[in-house]
Amino acid sequence: MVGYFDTVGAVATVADEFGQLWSLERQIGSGGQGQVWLAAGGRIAVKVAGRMSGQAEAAAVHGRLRRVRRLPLEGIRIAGVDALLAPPRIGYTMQLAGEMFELSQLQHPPPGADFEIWYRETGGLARRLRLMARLADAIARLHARGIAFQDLAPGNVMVSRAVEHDEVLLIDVDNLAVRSTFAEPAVYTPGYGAPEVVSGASGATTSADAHALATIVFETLTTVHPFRGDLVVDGPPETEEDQANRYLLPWVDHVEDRRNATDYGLVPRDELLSARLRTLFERAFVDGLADPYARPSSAEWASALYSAADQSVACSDCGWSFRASAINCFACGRPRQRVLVLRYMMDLGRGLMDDADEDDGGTSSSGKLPEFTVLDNSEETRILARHAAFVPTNPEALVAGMALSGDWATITNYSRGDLWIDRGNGAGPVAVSPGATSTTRISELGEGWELHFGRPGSTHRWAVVNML
Amino acid sequence: MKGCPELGWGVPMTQGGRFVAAKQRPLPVIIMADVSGSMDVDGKIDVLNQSIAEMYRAFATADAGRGAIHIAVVAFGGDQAYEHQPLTSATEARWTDMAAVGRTPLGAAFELVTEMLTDEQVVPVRAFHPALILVSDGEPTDEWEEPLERLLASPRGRSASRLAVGIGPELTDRARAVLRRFIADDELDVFDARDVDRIPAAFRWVTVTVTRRVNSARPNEVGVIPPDELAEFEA
Repeated sequence: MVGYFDTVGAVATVADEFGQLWSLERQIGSGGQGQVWLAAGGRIAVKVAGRMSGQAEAAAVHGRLRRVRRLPLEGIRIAGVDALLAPPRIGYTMQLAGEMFELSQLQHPPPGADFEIWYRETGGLARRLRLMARLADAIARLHARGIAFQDLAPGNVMVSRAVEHDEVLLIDVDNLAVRSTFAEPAVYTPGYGAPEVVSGASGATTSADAHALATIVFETLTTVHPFRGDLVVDGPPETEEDQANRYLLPWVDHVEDRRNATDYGLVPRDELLSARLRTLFERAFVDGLADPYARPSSAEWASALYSAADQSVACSDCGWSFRASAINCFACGRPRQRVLVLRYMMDLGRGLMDDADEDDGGTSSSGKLPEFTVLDNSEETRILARHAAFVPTNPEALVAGMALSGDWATITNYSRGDLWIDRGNGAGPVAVSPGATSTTRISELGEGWELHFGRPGSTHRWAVVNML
Repeated sequence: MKGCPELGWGVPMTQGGRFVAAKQRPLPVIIMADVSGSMDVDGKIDVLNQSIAEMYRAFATADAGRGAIHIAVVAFGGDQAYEHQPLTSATEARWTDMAAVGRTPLGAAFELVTEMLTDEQVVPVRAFHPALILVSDGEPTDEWEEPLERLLASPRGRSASRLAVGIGPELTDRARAVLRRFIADDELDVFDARDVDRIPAAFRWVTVTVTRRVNSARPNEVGVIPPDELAEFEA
């Protein structure tokens, strides 16, 4: 829809309830219930509701928007209702984060584009993982407040157009639901509605959102819809509408039932995606089809996607980003260069686990976590609260930075508390106060060097440096 | 420094992954354009040429949605109907002007379109329901009823979304009736472009209708926007 009105300029002007006028420049999205337009200036979008059956429906929609406005959405990447449009119009204004477009633009290459170049230049795997992690995080926060999004689909997810930015924003809050109602069928987009929603057995729920989320994540990473294999893509649209969208076909990577297998997209997928992600997809699209509670939750997705994003490396040859645990670049096959990684561990604290061992000097109970961050050679690696703490209030808060330069590694404490560094030289942990730095020879990092995010002896997370 | 193989070395791979983009489902748009001699009066053919060219540009730059717009133009004039533009991806199609001459062989156009729609080489099974747009300023001069019935009886013709644009002040009731028979939908009317100036608006309507479909989550189900609802979005 977008192309045409570009040349015309503002196609219409609408007024909001405060009398502010907004010039609609071009359409940036369209759903079943109306269109989303970009207002002049580029930071405000306007949702204009579609055709109504009559005054009663219009009043119901208007009322729903007023209720949505009172939902607690602070701190979530979702564009809430800024201002309602002045009647007789129905709709609302919302704030965007810079120049954005629909997520679908990152899911399928434009006609005529070189697939490999397009995928890389739109941010590759690493950026897609970061964007999907943020999407999952936004959904998880909604769910944590007891709110279901209801019509989760690529058309309702806006992402930064510029590849340097990783902003994600849910739009179309019209359907936010605080409780599932079976009286009216749930609103959904074909291909993204959960099986129990499509069949009419369930209304909007957080587990239905989780199905849509899994579908969107798979499609964004692999460019293939999980239920649209070769049989569907190369067949008539009816196969998609009547079978795939109703889950009468298995998912594309079903181990035994290969009816809906596909050679499209980025293959092999078991090389592209981490084992943890593949396990989640398997759960979502096999057991989770029939059993909504078997699906990975949005919070599980957020955690797995953040980890996968941390564990990506860029190929020094072709620039492609791929899994750090792979030996070759996914795109060009060049052997991966060795990288330093920050590997996360946990310490359950002295005496917590085993009181009987009091005499042994009180050794803590330690364990490895299945998580690591690839250390960047060119810029400071950000260590966030979700790496450093067990249950962070703000998982993306910056805790510390680690910069590699020449022979030296420098840790900077950006948090408000102390960090502790043990150089493994017998001197024990030394505190690094807020704002302070600590520098170590890179060659000494592997010799017992430890970075502790909590006071020695307490229950805390810590990290070591390994070469991978 | 120690390595840590337990973090999971991948399966050895020698030549990297493969990249195969799935082709988008085509959404065929076929314009049936009247290029009879009467279209030369008042510069109607010129405005029609400009309007279709404008639509081409809009389709070519439309963001890729669920499908890819493919466009064909079947011209009917003189004593024949012909593919002025065979069905081509809108990103590749280049417009060349049509000339107006002779009679109005609409029946021949219906036959040609039916032939195109049933040929899987032209419209593959994976295509969305086509959009057919009939543009005319007069009554057919050949036998058209049977060819129209065959078109409407064909699976692709029946499922197509059909739009009609009547051009010029001289459009007779009988000519309008032909356009209505083509639409075969009581809910929908002929787009009236009595003044030549309205022809661009007619094609904006076609453009919006088609791009709205291709960007929709349900391209096969989206209905046609009533022409009067577009008014507020016209510059």
